[in-house]
Amino acid sequence: MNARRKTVIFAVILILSSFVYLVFLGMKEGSMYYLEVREFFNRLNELGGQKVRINGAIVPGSVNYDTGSMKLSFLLKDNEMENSPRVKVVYKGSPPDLLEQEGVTLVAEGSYNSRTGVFEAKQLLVKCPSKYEKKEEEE
Amino acid sequence: MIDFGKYSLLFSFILSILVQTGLSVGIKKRDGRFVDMAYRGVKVIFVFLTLAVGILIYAFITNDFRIEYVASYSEKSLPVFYKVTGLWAGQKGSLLFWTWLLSIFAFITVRRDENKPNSVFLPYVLVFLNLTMMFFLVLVSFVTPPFEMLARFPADGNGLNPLLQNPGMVFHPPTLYLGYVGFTVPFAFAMAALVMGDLGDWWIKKTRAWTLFSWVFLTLGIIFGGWWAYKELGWGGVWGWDPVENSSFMPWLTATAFLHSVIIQERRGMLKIWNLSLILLTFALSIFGTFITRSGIISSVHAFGQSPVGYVFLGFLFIILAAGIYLIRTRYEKLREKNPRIEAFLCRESSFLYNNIILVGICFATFWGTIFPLISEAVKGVKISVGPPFFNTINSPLFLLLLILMAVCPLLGWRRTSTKGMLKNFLIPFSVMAVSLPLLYIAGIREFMPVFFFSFSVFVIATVAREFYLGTKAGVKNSGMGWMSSFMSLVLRNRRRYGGFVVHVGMVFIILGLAGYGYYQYKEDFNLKKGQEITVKHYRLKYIDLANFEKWNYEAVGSLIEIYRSGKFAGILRPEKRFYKKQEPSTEVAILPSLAEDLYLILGSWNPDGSITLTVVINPVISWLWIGTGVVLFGTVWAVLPRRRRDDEVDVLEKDIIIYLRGTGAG
Repeated sequence: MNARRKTVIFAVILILSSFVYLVFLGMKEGSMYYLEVREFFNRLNELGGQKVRINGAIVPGSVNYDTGSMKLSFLLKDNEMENSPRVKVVYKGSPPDLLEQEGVTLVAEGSYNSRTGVFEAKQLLVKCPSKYEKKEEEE
Repeated sequence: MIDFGKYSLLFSFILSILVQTGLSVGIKKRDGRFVDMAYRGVKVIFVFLTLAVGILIYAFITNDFRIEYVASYSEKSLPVFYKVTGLWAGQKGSLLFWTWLLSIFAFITVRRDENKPNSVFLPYVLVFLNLTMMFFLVLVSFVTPPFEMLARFPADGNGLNPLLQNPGMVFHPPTLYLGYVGFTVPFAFAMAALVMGDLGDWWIKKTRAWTLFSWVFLTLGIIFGGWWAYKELGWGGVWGWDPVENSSFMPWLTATAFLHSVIIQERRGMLKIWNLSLILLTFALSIFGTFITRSGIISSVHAFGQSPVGYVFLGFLFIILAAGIYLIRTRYEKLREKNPRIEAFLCRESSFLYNNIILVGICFATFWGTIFPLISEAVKGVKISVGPPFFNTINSPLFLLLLILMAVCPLLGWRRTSTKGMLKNFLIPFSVMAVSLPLLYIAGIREFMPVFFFSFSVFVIATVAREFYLGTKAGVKNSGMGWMSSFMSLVLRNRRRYGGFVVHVGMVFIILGLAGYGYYQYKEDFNLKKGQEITVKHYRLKYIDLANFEKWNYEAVGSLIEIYRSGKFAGILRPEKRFYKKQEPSTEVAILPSLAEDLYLILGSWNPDGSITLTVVINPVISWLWIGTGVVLFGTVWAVLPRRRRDDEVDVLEKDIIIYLRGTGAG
């Protein structure tokens, strides 16, 4: 009975600790700051080359896409702050569908290159809050 | 007409209050007349809600744009099919649809048992069904009224979002709702069992069909969502661990755990508290999912309209959890009585237990990753988003463990397995797996995790094949039947067991499909001039021309691409960009599917000189995801189909209830 209880406790500890380890590992791999553009500028120095997500609005007229090299670039400003600082975002790949629609906000995932002063995005997610209401079916 | 719809909702709400009163009085005074009145009330609610749904659909078909909801999700030129499905295109209609489904289920629950002599449990079950019903009726009557009128009605509606004009999206919400709503019934039975203090497994037996039914619809709903994302969203994947996706996945996990753990309670009388908690959790998580998606509290790619309805769901969630936990706590001592223990580490029971721990573990990890942005914002004041790598890192090894359990579990005996017997059982499936290893190596599957995933998939299939073989052989030996008739009688008689095995095979196909594209997806962008050819793996793609064309509600630009597979002409694909008259433009991918792999093309952009940016994606074995879903559906239907003869289980059930009646003196 006693030996049995010991085995059970041992097994529970083993399972729990490996689970906690997995969560820890996963958090290290998969978690990153999700920052508004203004917050991004506040934390610019501490970020280093760390992967982050930034959320902002595209500065109208700043979108530039070069078909030859498939390089997309645009300026991102804060969603709320007036006269917000702007960050230049570059991305390799074709522009998302709704990029130049009015009122679009965008989440760019990538890292800031302090040498060039450019945010190098690996992934772009376009959100269109007002119009996308109709997409609410994705339960 | 519209008023009639509005009033039938209001009337249903008043009726549901009366039903609740009737049930309470009936139960308290032990007076059948009140209970009968409540039964009738449940049926009338069903009739009125059916009317309301009918009126809303009629309004869609007849383009009645006076109704705000119709004007927002339809337009004159929309095909009738999408008009009818407009019922669940938006929040207001979805909630009406949900309420209506609930009324159907309550109706069926009453019809099934009202005239049976031993249905003492029915009033208690209805108390919980009707409470849920009242909650939704408050929503559709006062919070999100689907029949709300516009002050000035437009000549034409806004039309339906093009992304939703796809069969995957048409079937995704109703299947998912059927799953969510379906779990209300087992939940209500479990709560009834708690209130009555009758904690045998009668409620599990009673709701077995409901549980399987809801589970399979939840599964289908999730997969339809993935299928839609694959076809419409144009990023080449099916699942992105987005909060909205996760919120449908979490109840699925606990439901799957529940399906397995009830078997242990039925066979050994164990895990009573656990089962009650799982069904409570499943129901609570489906409400939590609705809260996540409707409140917009966690930023999601799916960017919903934010609405206060989400918080109403949050309130409801707290009520459910509080009531459930209170009931379990007050009956805790009774539940603990006579709980036998699990006797060995490696036996059928313990493998079911491991299965449950892993499923709940995956659920917890998913929950943690989903709500972590909220926690970090509250605690550290900065949002931290948790991306797919988090979920993949944790969940891939856990899914692998599940796969191993599927392979091993049927080889273990109940209670305890002797080492010798175990070795004998393992021999053949293990050898089959061993043989598959060099084949996998040749096929190019050489990394650690994929090798495990693919080889254990083979193991599972070998195990299942062995089960079918042994069962058939036993039939041949015992009753002298031929192999064919023995096989038929095996699978016909023991539906639940063999249906379950078929579901396992389907799950293996699904896991294979996901692993194939997860580990071996190929994706690259190309810049192409007219007439240019490129070679991608064993495909040769030739860009012919750019073409404009017009359909009833959009204009499109499409690029014609000739495909040659291993040198042979395989077809012409036309990835497009569509420009809708009333909606945002959208990308339409083109797919050349096959059992081995999908070739998936996305038109990125084009230039005045006719050159295009084309994204080429190759997804290996992804078709098996859809095939596996079909197999799961088939297996579940097989397991759940009613048997012609009344079998022993029903007799046992009624005996249980008679014993209960004697015990309380109510009979």
